[in-house]
Amino acid sequence: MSEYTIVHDAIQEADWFQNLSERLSDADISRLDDDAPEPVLEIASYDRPDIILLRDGDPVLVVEKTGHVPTGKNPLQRVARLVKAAELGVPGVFFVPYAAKKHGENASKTNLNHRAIQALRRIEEINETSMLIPPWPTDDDYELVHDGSEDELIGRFVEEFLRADCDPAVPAAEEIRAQSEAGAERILSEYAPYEKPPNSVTIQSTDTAVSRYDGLTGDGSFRTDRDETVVCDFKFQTRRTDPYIGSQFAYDYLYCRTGPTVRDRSRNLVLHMPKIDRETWLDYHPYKPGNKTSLWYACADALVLADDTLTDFAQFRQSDQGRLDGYR
Amino acid sequence: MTSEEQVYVWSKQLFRADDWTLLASDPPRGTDVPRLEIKEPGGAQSLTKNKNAVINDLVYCKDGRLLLVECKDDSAKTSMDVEKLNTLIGNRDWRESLITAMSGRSLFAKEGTPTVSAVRDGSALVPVLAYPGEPRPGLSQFVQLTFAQGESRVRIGDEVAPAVREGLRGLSS
Repeated sequence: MSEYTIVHDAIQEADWFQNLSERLSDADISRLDDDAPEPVLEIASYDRPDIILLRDGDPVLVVEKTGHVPTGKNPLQRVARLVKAAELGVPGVFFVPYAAKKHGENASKTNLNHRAIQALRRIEEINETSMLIPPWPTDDDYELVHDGSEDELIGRFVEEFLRADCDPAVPAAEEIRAQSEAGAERILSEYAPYEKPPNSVTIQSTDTAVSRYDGLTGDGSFRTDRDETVVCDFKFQTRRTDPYIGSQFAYDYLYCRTGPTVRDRSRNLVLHMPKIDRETWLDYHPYKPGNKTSLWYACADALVLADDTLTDFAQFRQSDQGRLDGYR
Repeated sequence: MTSEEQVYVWSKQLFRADDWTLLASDPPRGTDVPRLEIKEPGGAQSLTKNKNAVINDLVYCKDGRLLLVECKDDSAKTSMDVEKLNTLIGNRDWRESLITAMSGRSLFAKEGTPTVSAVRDGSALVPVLAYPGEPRPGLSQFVQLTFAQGESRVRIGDEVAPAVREGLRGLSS
């Protein structure tokens, strides 16, 4: 019996990951479901990563992989899938193209949202846990390479990582960091606004935020003694989770976090949904542990709605079962 | 019961072992290589879950052949796929749409892909069904990959061209 288990969200991802290293050739393959072992469920409690590698039952690596054109909030949503791993001290890998061709009528090269790279760097720094972002290579037309050569570097990392007793500080990791740095610099050189928050996110004085939004007081985790407040404007009108629900974690680490828990913030994090009233919000987005909508209550200090502001989230929780309160 | 995901992965493993080049994919869930969206020419009739487009589960090439693969978890569910592949391969306008989609993704530059003319006249195109159990009778123009009790089986229809049959020999060995 192998010491390794590959836990997957979709089996072809396990097939891909297993083929990255001979050392995984006899690994057990297991689907991430409700019967998964407790450490797996804990890592997946914010969102489901593509791969969780276990050694003797303990998580040792988490991998997220995407070939989607990496614009907007989509990559931020995927970053969120690595947050819990980092908070638990499990290294993460985000395999993503740094540029890819967007198809359709207005086909063009599109860069990875640089804030995804920056958020992972902050997650790594704050949690003191490696977060690597190997680029999925593209050809001269910015089409993803998928002839097998794209896996050379990440495969070498996995091989070295396993050989080094699951220590991520291996030569291939340094190579990944160098490529990541070069890619990030290129993206910023082509679109400097990535250095600042997007238009939907503003950093304002807490006094201004309190005067602007009724009900924003010192209840719950919102603190008036923090000088500044980050407000994320999410203008959806109906039931939504991704990409917004994952993006809040990225914005938290980018603009608020100073330490490993949501209490460790230099700025408040407020989500502003001006097009949904309280009744609709609670109907569409119940705080029901086990339901993904409960993540709306896992990160922010306050939710500002069209007609109300929610701050003390515990009162909305519908069940005693579940994990989310443990992280507040 | 064998899931469609499992059939998808078994199919991939089979093609990988015979050095076929994966050009596009649309897995039942999760991430794989980018998909190839073949737009319906002209009209609005929908043949798949994706309105006005055909997106094959797997698209492979080797030595100038293009395999269009549909995976299912049950042979009883393959009828729509038979119709879809027959339409895609048998209709000139659909083949033009396939050329457009492949060109848009620069796939004709990949090693082993067929020529544009061989896609246009259909001679390079091979319909493939993959599912658990035993091969279906009939389907003389299809290749069927079936999986039962840990074994894979490749059944090549009687009307599949000899040259194509020869090119698929490695899959069944």
